[in-house]
Amino acid sequence: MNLKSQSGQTVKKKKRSEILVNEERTAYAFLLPSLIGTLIFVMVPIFISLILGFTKWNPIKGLTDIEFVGLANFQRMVSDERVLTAIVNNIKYSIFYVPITIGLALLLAELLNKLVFGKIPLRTMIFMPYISSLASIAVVWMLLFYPSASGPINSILVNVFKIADPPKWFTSSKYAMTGIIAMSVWHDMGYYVVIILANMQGLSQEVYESAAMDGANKVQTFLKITIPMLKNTLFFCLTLATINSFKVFDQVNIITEGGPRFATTVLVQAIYHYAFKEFNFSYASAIAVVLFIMVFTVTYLQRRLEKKLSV
Amino acid sequence: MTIPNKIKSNLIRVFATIIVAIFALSCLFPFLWMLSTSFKFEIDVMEFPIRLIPKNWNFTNYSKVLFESNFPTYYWNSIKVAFFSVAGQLIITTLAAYAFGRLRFRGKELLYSLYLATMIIPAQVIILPKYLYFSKLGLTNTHLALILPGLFSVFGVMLMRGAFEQIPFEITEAAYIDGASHFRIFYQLILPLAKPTVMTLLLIAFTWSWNDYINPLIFISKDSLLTITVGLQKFSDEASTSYALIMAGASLALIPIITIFISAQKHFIQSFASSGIKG
Amino acid sequence: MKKIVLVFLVIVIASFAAGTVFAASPAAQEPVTIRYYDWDMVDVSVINRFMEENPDIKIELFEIAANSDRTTQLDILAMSGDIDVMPLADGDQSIRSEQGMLANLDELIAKYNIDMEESFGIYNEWVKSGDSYYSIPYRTSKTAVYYNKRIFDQAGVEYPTSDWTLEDYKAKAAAISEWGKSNGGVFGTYSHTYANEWAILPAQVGKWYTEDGLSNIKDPAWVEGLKLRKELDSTGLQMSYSEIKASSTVINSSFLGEKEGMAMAGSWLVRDMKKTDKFPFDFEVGICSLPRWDESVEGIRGNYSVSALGIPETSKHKEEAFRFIIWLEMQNADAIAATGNVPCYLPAYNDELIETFVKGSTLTTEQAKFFFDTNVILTTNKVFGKEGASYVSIINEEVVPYFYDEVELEEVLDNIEKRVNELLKD
Repeated sequence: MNLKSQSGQTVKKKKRSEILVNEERTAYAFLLPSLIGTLIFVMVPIFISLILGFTKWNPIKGLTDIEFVGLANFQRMVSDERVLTAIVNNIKYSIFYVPITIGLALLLAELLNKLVFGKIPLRTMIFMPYISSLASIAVVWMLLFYPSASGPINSILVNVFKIADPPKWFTSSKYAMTGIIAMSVWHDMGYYVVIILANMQGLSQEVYESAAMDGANKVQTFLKITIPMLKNTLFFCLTLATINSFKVFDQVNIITEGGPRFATTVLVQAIYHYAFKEFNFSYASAIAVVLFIMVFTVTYLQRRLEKKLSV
Repeated sequence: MTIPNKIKSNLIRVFATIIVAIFALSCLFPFLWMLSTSFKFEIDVMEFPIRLIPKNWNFTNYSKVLFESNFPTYYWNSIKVAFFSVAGQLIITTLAAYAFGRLRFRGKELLYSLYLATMIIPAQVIILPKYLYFSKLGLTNTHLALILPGLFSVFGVMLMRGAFEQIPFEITEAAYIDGASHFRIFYQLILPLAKPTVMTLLLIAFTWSWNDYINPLIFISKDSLLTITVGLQKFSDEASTSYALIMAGASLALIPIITIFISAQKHFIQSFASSGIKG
Repeated sequence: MKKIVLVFLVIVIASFAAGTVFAASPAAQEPVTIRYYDWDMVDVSVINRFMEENPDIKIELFEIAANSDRTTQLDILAMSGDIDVMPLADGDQSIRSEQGMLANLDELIAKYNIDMEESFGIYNEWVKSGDSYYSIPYRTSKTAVYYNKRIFDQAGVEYPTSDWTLEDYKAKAAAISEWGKSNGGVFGTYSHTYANEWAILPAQVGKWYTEDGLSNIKDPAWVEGLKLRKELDSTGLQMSYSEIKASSTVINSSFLGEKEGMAMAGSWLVRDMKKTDKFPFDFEVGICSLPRWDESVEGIRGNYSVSALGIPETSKHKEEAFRFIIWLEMQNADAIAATGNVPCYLPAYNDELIETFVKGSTLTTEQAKFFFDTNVILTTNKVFGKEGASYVSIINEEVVPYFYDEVELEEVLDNIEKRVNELLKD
């Protein structure tokens, strides 16, 4: 910060420390409501839940029965098919969901921003899935992807594309996950489009003008100028999408409940199962710890990558 | 023969528009289908070829939902909860974001990392400790139980901090030197400059609150206090295979939020246009 | 400006705190308040009458939806002390009493001199853990085969009789399906996807545990039972498991909507038959006992399960809740029957009760006697024994891919055996 000092050195220093103290006080004041609330409603519960992962606790009996058992819960996980499958499913899900969603969002944002008329209605249409609740959308999708040949999507496959034996979608172990991923991409895409678009519109125009004068075509401009300039936004979106992809639950629980068998079981589903169907809060919390570690690792790696690419 | 640049670029524009339009339509299709099914009779629901305009119009589904169920109550509850959630969240998160994004203080990085770390945890994990708090405080089966958690969005802080950070310090420097307090700077300079992001946050916060399913599911058991997400679920469970009826319910559940979004859209554009900062 | 912000914030926080305190301070009432949640309430007038007769108790009723989340909701309520009278369906009570969620009722039973044996007979098995009582039997659901007389007539099939066998059942279903092919796609019969629904008939002969107390899932009865479901599905005699799941079909609207000629359903279907605005139907319904699994099975067969009312350990008004429960059960069995449910209180069984039970459902008292007949030999498809609830839950998970045609039966049986034995060995 450059201070325009009116008088000498000492005055500058005095002003600066005063300013800093003032700033700090203001900062704490501004932070207070958010901090208190986040502490009470987010941090403390998280702390409790994480500690629970190392205990054995039956919530039915209240708080009297908590027993510390170290790593026993984690040992159990190693041979628990539900958890192991969930981990694999989460990875599968993220590997497809994140690149597809962000890639599509980027593409659409670019097209929307530069080359298109009818921008506003189209953008509204793309954002619409995001604002609808997963609960109601799930119902619509379950109907659309009705497994028999008379379901809407399947009837198109049978009659128009001449596929004799259309997939059974959510009632088949093979295609259920595909259906869930498709639904999530469809639902979330618009959200990232809006974020990327909002940031695109703040980009400086001079760079584009000089690039155009240098004869760069659309694709080159996009790859070499737009994307680098959007780096921060893109990393933000990637991180967000990754974190959110590990948290996927609503659509899985409503449509397949993690089934058939464990085909669509993801970690949060497993946590829900053990916590609310078997009353094993401590084991569920241990799974939450695993989830946390996974997400943290991936996010951390992403940040390192971001730093590397920003140099 | 080289195609003149002007025609070339127009062609590309048209081509691009078509691609986007296809995407947009596929985004729209499930809604259109939902809407059209809601006006059909049950037997026509699974007909092929898929008819978006019903052969026989059936308006009774809507009257059933509106007059024979608790939908109006659920609506009002959702509106109430969303309003307080959003208003509170805007105030609380922008203040915090200002601190993180434009002020210096001890413990800033640590605190921020802590905030970030909390985002990783899915809500289901902390829902029982939250329930234990709320029930000890007697807040279960009240709307406060739905509003309070919504006020402290870590995501909101992240988003606003990003936007606030991007505003050059020179502008606020000048004002600060002139004697403006941080709050004035915050309120009169930063907020207006970050308006598009604030609008984004408003929409996202509203959406989150409106669509919240698991919190009302667990904290609210009194039917008169339920919000529309769980209400719709209850409704469609009872309706089981009356798909057209369920679609009518789903359509009604979505109309408010779509309307709000479309009207807020215009505001969005205005904010962009009036935003003074580039790059 | 900053000061104004601080003041503002303090006011906001203070008002929240105040609101909290307001909400939290219990209106210090004289009468004790009991909270009762259920998905199938008796008429409110009954509750009001209780409150009149017992002015020291106030009852708050909450109706919850009868969907799959209801047990989770109830559990959460119980864990945080928000419920005093808790309904537990079809065996949910056993795992909960084992885990300590329900209060031991032995003392209260003794205090109020309730003769459990006389009042509830065999239903008591469902509410005991060891030798203690942890809930009171409330309603029982007896499975029967309901059939659509009009469809049977049109298809030229004879009505089932109480000595019929599985072969007869299959034959009739086949005949109706055949007729149904050219008559609107009507199925022969219907069997839902509830946990262990496929086990209803084999339960007449099957055993869930071996002599050593391990899983006996490979008992030929269970194997044949699973195959039976698969067979009925694949030959088009009933709506397939995957289709029921995908379409959220339920017995009441399906059978009463004339989609099949027969349906295997509990006595609760009578409750829905009374709801003529929701499930209007205009055909005559017949009731028959369950087909005998094979010739070795004798007598009139039925399947049953018992729902109970329990008092969570966290309840602060156990005695008042208990008084309400026994008053409801012992003096108002007719109110329970009026909702189309079979009450568990045996001394109340008489023709009048049965009449109340069927009123408005189009069934005759004679037909409904089947649900109250203590001569019917009852078996249950639920698992009683060590880790019974988990046993059922594991089976329910493992059979799904089999019914979806994705795995072979051997694999399913192996998986079930492995997982259940792991639990049983602990």
